[in-house]
Amino acid sequence: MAIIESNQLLTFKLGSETYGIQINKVREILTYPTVTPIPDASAWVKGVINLRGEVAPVIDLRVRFNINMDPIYTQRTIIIAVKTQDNRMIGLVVDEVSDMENVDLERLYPAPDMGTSISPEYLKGLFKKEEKMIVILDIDRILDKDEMKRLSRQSNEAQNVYSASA
Amino acid sequence: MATFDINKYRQMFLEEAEDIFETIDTILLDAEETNDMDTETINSLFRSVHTLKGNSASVELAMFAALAHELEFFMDRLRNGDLTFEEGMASLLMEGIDTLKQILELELSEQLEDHFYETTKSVLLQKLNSFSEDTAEIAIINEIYGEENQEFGLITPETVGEDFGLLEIHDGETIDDIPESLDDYFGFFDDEPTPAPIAIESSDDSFGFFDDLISTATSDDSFGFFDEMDLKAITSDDTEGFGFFTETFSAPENKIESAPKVVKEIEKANKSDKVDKVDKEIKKTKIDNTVSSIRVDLSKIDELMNNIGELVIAHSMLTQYTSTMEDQKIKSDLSERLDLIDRHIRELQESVMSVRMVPMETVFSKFPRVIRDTAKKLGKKIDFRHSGESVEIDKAMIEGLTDPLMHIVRNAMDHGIESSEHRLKIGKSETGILMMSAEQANGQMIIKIQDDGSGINVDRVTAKAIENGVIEEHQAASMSKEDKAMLIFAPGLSTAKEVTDISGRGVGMDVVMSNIKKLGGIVKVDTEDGFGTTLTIALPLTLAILDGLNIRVGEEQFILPLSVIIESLNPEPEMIKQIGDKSSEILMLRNEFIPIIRLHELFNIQLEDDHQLTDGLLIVVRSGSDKVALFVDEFMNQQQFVIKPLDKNFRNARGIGGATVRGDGTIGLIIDTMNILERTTY
Repeated sequence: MAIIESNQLLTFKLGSETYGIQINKVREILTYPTVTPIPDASAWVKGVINLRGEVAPVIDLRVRFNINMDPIYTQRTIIIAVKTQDNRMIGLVVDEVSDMENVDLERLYPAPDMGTSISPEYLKGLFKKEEKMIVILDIDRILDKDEMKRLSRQSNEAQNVYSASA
Repeated sequence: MATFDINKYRQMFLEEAEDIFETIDTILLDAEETNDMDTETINSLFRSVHTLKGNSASVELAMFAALAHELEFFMDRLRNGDLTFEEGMASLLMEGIDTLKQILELELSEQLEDHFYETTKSVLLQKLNSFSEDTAEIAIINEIYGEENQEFGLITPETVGEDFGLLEIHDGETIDDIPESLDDYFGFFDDEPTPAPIAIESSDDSFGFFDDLISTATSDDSFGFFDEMDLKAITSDDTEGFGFFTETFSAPENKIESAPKVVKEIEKANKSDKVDKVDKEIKKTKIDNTVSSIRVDLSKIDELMNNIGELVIAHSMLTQYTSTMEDQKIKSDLSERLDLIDRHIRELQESVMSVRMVPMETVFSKFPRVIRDTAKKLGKKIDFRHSGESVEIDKAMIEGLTDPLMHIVRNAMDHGIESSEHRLKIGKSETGILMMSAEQANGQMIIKIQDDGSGINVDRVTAKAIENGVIEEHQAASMSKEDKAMLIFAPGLSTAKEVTDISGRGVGMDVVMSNIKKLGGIVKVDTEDGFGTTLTIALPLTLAILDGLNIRVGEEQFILPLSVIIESLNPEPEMIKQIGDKSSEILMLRNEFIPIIRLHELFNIQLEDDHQLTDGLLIVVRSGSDKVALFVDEFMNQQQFVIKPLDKNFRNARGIGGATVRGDGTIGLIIDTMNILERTTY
C-alpha cells in the first residue's frame, strides 16, 4: 500500500503515554529557547518565542491536558513547532520525541468518551501498535484560534474574580 | 496545484483598476476645471480605459469590459478628432467612470442583474451619443477645412500619406508657413541648437526633431533634438526634412524608414502661444516616462523584513561569540568586519523600509473627486487645497487612513462650511476653503484638515452629549472647550438637524477616532466659532518600526514606545497620594493628578517584598487623551524595534500592543498604553 505522507505520524510522549500528530503539520523540532512570558495568559501558554521571524506562542500540552501541572523546563525540554491549517505557527512543549509511525488513518479506533483527561473532541482516534497505544491528536482542533481565545478568557475571568476578591 | 484561480487575478486587476480610476478622475477633474482637454490627455484617458477593458476581459468580467468598451469607443472618437472636447463632457465621462465602478463592484460580487446592467448601459450610451450628435457638425467642418488645416490637424495614417509623407510638401508648405512662428512657439528647444556630430555630414539641410513634439526645419546646419532621437534613422536617409507623424503612422516607403519621431501635439503646439504651457506638457511627459514601478505584495516586503531580522540576530550571535574570544588580534579583526556587516544590514533594512513608503499624494489624490461630487450635491462652493504631497507614509497605513479622512472631509463640508449665500451674508468669500496638509515633525506624521466654516458649536455638542448620556452634567462643567469639542468623536452623537446621505447619522466620527487610534495616532480638534475648525491627526511614520525604550519590570523587560512618553521622574514620597485603599495611587505632579499603574501588578510579575514607588521610576505616558504614570524598576537603552503582531499566531494581551524580535533572538513585548487603563474611552 502506498504511504500517503499525511499518514505519517510524529510520536512523542506526554507523561507516560505516547501521542502522535501528523508529520505534515510539523515544521521544526527545537530545544527550549528563552521564552518571553505573556502577562495575562493561561498557565498552559508559556509565552512567545521567535520562530523563523514570527512571534509564536508556546503551549505546554502537558499543562493543557492536566498531565503534569508543574513541569520543569530545562535546556533539554523539547518544542515541536507546528503550523496549523490557518497558517499559524505554534510551539508545543512535549516530554520527549519518540519516533515516526506509518498509520492508516482510516483504521483508527475511536476515542472513548470517558477515561481520558483529553476530551475526545481533540482526538482523531487511537492507534494500536503491538502492545502500545498511540493517541492521535487533532492539532487543528486543539489549536483552533477561537478555542484558544475562549479557553484563555475563561481562565482570565477566573483570575479576575480572584484578584477582585483579594 | 496549478489550478487557475481567477479570483487571484481578479484581485490583481482590482488593485490595478483602483489606480487607473484614480488617474482618470484626476485627469477629468483637471479637464473640467480648465474646460479643455489636450491630445495628450485624451490619449492617456484612452489608454487607461483601454487597459481597463483589456484586463477586465482577461479576468472574465464581461459586462464591465463591454461597458468599458463603450467608453473607450467614445474616447477613441475624441482622440481621432471625430469629436471635440466641450463643456459638460468631463462631467459626463466622470459619470461614465462611476457607472463603471458600480458595475465592477456588482459584477465582482455576482450581484449584477442583466436588467440593471442593460438599463444602466443604455442610459449611459444615450448620454454619450447626445454629444456625438452635437459635435457631428463640427466634425464635418473639420473635414471641409481639412486641407487648410493640414499642418495643424491631428494626423491619422490616411492623411499622413497625402499631406506629410512627401517631404517636398513639407518643405514647400510647412517651412514657408510655420518656421517663424515655430521659433517663437518653441522656446524650449535648445537656444543654441546642439549640432549632432554624426548626422551633420550625412544631410545638407537642417532638421529639428523632437520627441512628442512638432518638428520642423529651424536654421541651416543646426539641430535641435531630444534625447530620444534615433540617430541611426537620421543618418540612414538623406532626406531634407522630416514631416509630422502620429504614433500610429508607419513610415511610408523609403523616405523615412523608421519613422523617427512622433508628433502627437501638433494641434496643441500650434495653437498654443504660450511656451510655458508646452513646457508643462513636456514635464508631464517626462514624468510619465521616468516613473516605472512594479506592484509587489506587501507580505513579500514583510518577508524580506523578516529575513533581515534573522540576519540581525545571526549577526548579534556572532558578535556575542566574538566577545568571548581570547586571542585579542583575531577578536579585534573580527569585530571590525562585524561592524561593517552591521552597517550593511542597517542600510539594507532602511532600503526595505523605504520600499514601503509612498508619498501622501496617493492619499490626497482620492479627495478632489469626492469633494467635487459632495460639493455639487450640497450646492456649496468649495475650494480644496492641499500641501505636503511628497511627505512619505507607510503604505500599510494608507488604507486605515483614507476612510477616516474621507469622513472628516465630508463632515467639514456638510456641517462646517456654510452655504454660499450664508457665507456672503456674513461677509465671507463665497467659496469655502478646505485645506489638507501633511508634514513630518518630531518623527511623526502630522495631517491637518482645516475648513473656514462655522466651527463646532461646542455648547450644542455638549448639550447633546449630556442628553445622550455620554457625559454627566457635572462633568461638562469642568470640561475645557477642547475637551468638549472632542465630544464629536463620541459614538451616536450628531448635532445635525437633518440626516443627509452625506453625514449626520452620528456614526462615523467615533469610527474615525477608533481607526486613527488603531494606527497609533491621536486626534486634536481646534475650533473657533465662526472661523472654522482644524482637525490635527498625529500618526507614527510607520507601522513597522518603532522607537522604543527598554524598561525593566522585576525580572522582565518590556518596550515602551518613545512616542507616548511625556516625562519620567523619581517620585518623592509626598507626590504620591492615595484614594481609598492602597490599590489606587495617584501622582500629584505640578497641577495634575495622574493615576499610577504598577506594571508589576498589571503583568503579574512576582516581587519579593513590598515594593516602594520611590524605589523605582515613574514614567508619565499618554493613554489616549489622558495621562498615566507607569511604575517601572529601571530604564534600559533606547532602540528601534521591528513591530510584529502578537495576534497573528496567538491573541492580544491586555496592555500589550505587539512584539518584536530582540537582538539575541528572543521576543520582546511592546506596551500599548492606549488600552492600559481598560477604560472605555469614547
